[in-house]
Amino acid sequence: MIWWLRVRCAPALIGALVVVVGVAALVPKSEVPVPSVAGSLTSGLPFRYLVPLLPVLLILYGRARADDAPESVAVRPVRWLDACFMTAPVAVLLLASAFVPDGVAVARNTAGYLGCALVLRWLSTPRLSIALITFLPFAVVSLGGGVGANQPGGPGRCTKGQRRSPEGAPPCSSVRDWWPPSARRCWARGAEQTSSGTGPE
Amino acid sequence: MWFYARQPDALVSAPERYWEAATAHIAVVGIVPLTLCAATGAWEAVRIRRSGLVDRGAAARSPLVVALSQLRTVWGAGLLCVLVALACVAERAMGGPGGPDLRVLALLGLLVTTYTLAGYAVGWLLPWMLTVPVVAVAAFLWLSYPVSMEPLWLRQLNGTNLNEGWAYERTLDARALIAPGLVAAGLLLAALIVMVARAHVVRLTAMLPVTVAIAVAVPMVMPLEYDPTKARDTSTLSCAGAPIRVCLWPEQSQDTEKFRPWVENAAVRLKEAGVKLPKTYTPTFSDPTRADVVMSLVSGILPDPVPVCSERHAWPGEEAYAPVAMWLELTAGGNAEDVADRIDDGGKMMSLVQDVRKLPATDQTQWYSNNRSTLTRCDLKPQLTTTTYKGGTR
Repeated sequence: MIWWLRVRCAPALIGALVVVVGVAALVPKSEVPVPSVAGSLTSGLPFRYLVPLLPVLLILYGRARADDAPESVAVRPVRWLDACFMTAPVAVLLLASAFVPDGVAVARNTAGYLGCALVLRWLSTPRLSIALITFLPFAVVSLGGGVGANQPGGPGRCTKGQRRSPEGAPPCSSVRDWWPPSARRCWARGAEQTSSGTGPE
Repeated sequence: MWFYARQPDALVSAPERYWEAATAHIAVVGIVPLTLCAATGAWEAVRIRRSGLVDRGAAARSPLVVALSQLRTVWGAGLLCVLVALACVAERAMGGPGGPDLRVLALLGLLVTTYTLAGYAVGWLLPWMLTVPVVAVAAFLWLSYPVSMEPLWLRQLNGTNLNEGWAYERTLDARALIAPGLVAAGLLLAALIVMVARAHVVRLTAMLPVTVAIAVAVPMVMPLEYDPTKARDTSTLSCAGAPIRVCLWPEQSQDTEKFRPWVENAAVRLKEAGVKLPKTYTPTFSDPTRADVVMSLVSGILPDPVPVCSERHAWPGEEAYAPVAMWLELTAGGNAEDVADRIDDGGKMMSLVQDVRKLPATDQTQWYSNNRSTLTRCDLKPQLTTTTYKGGTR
């Protein structure tokens, strides 16, 4: 039993779950910008949806380095234990959702990554399935619309960095901030090409 | 990779016919190809490790030669992606003076080499099952995440953030190219050390070039913050014309025949109406329409920052902004329908401005100067209604 746990890197898995819960609880707003093929330049991949890769990769890694021959003739029900070992992290995350915002979605993603990886593993090799599952979250965000697609200042980008001075500013920002709220329309037409600019008065 | 190399919206902020800006924009497209290069490099390393050929027996070829034979396809694919991206931006920059910015292309070439080799080197260090995921996620996060992180200058270190802040009056700051180049070179050196060295103690020295590169690069980019560009040398501006001097960048030289007469026409009308004009007009766009020219000229005449006093006091002049802007645009010869479209209040403001335009010229001038002065201070009330002016100051 101890060997079984060691091969499956159980301590590292516990550490990974702590990291997932910690990320979901502490930085719920953090988003990784992912280049998008549909429409806008980038979409935001919430960081808390990315970290579940960590426990999933560890589970797969542990499963892949197990020695199948001796385990198949073991006295203990290794297959059932493995199944429990794989569902346990999802159950833990579901329980943690009691105090973690959006925790159900994090648990859902963990289950999703794990399930896809296991199907891929059955279809191909363990090594290939681990490599492919890594790209799944990025591919999904990149092909889909994106959570942060409508944020001001470009999706997923730090809006603090936007230039405020008149030179090179997006033409609307300087004028629109100005206008009475009832009349807030862009004075400059077509933000992408036109812009105002004059030299020193 | 090809797919990402031609993102349609990647180029929206690049001014047209400006090669330097267009080339700088392909850096951001590099995120996905570079990640894939690193991941494939790691995959190749795992492949040769698992073959068991390297650790047993006597090596006929040095580790570097072996790596080169394995990685040249990956490297070639990465460089191909850079060229595809360049071909995609070329249609926006075509026709402008000069050609692709070779410094940016050199930086991207260095990045492709570095990430391929770094992925390969890490492939020798980590447990072989986990190598590809770890390398892919780490490379992606490093290339993509810093743009949404503080401190702002962090994004200048990875070399995929040259696409911000572009306009005709901006040019690449050399520091924004040298710093990521240094970091990449440090990483490349570290990868080479890991590949050549066998002993773990020697491999630890790989930390050294990376540390040194970061230590040199960070103070370099700290003053840059989010913006990799700097003000352009104004000696390339060609200015001419009266009453406003129209200053154009070389990239806009094709539009000289449009800008100069339109600006001159509008400026003469405004001057006759008694409007104080700025000395120069430097448009930040090309392929102008007449409406664009009038509009940008007008917004140059209006004061730009909100008056400081408005943070503490009420600012009655705010309601004068739109009518004054509309009056200026109509006086400069703007199309009445376009101007009316800018505000949806059922045409009330437009009819007010039309009434003002029916006043005698001197009253209009008075109306303008009264209301214009309320835009920059808080102690004056705008007098927008025409009844105040009829027969008043004749």
